[in-house]
Amino acid sequence: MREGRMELLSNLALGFQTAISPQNLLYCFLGTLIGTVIGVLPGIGPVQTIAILLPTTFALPPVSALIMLAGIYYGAQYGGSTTSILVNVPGEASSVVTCLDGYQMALQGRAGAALTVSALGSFVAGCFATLLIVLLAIPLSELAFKFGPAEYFSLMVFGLIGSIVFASGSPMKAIGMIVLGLLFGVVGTDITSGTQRFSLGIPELADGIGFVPLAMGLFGISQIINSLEQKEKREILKTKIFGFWLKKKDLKGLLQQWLAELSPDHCWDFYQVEAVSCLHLSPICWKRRFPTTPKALGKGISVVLHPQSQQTTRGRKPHLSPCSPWVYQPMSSWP
Amino acid sequence: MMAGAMMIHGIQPGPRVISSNPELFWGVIVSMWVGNLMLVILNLPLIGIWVKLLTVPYRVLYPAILLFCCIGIYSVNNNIFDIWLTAILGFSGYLFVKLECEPAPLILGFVLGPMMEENLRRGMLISRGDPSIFFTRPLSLAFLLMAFAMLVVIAVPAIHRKREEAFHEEGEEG
Repeated sequence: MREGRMELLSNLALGFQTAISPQNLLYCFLGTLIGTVIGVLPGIGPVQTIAILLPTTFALPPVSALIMLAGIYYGAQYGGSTTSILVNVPGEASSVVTCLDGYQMALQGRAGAALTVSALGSFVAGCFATLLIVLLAIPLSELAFKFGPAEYFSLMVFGLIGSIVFASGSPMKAIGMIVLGLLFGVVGTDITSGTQRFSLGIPELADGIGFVPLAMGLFGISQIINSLEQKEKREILKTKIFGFWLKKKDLKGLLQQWLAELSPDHCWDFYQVEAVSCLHLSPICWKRRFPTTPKALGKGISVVLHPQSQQTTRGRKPHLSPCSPWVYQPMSSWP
Repeated sequence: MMAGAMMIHGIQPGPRVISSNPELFWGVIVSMWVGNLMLVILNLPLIGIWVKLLTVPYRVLYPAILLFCCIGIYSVNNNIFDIWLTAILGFSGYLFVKLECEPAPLILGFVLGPMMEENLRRGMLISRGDPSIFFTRPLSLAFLLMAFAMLVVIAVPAIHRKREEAFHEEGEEG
């Protein structure tokens, strides 16, 4: 146990060494900055942002590239929440709920506070998520030595089926998309025999379909086409944004909220809610089931924080399941 | 997405990353802390600029992004074909959005597919063509069982929902 802890510390030290080097700091900074710039645009979420910016990281060494991409990812998330608070248009699917409360707060002239909360929530949840990864990492890496081809194959089967769970919408469609993806992956030259597969006689396809065109096309370009459909209607709050500092009352509420989240009660409930796949909005369900929690939905700070922290921990789209009627209504009334 | 990006940079994604590229793994983890901190410090004073950015009309913004995308794709392989490919995939992606199909599983299938094929073939070679290798090795069996369990978990709520819908319809009629 003690040894494990020492290993963890030395690993973290190594991580700090890598992350604090001026070069990587610079790329991290650039990543968050560019990520926010693109993420602020309505309709373009973190995944799309990564897809669009993927080629920019090509010339970098792998470590810096991944650091920059990670930066782009949470930069874009933060940018998305800014858009939803100020314009009431969710920058991406996962900030739908941020819209509900954040915009209300902005209307009350407290946009600054809402923005601060969303940044803080993002930060705390991000730290929590990384801590979890760190704790899981060492046992996982020990397991990796036992892996042969058979294990890798089964792990990937597991991963693919897992992605069905994480996809919102119909599982059948997700399965169809996986199969289509597998087919796309087959295109190119067979590894062992060198036969051309599905390359349609096009020499450029002999190496297979590139990841960058695929990702950028499916996520980036398609999203842009989709946004063109929507009417350009943005009412940006004209009021000056001030008062970034939270009031004492808000802080107290936040702390309560966070502590409540850590309680085993909530964890269990979270798990249950997850099982019926309405993960993202679980705090709302939770609040409905335990109305004693002193929070005013639709006005307060709590929900701005919630989806935000979940966004970072989960990094995925919300499931708009029937158990969240609140979300259905505003969804249908979007411009 | 990250897995794909890792592959581009010549790193095989999977549990082995932690031990084979420790400085990469831990560096990225720590940089997440650093980056989140940067976000808080950086963005609170800059919000005004982001708001300004929102006032730029779409007709200027989106062509600029598209141009940027094209330059990016071209620069990867110096290949015009890739741009065509992206355009085609972009339209099919739009189609998927309209059909309410999520592209994320597709990407995962695309990234994992070739690796899966390679390992399947290697595993079959080791066992001399006997597929039972996937069921007799404990770890492998565990993963397959978990995959199966997940399938059940997906299927059960779907069936449940169907039943509930039918129930609701009946109720409305009555």
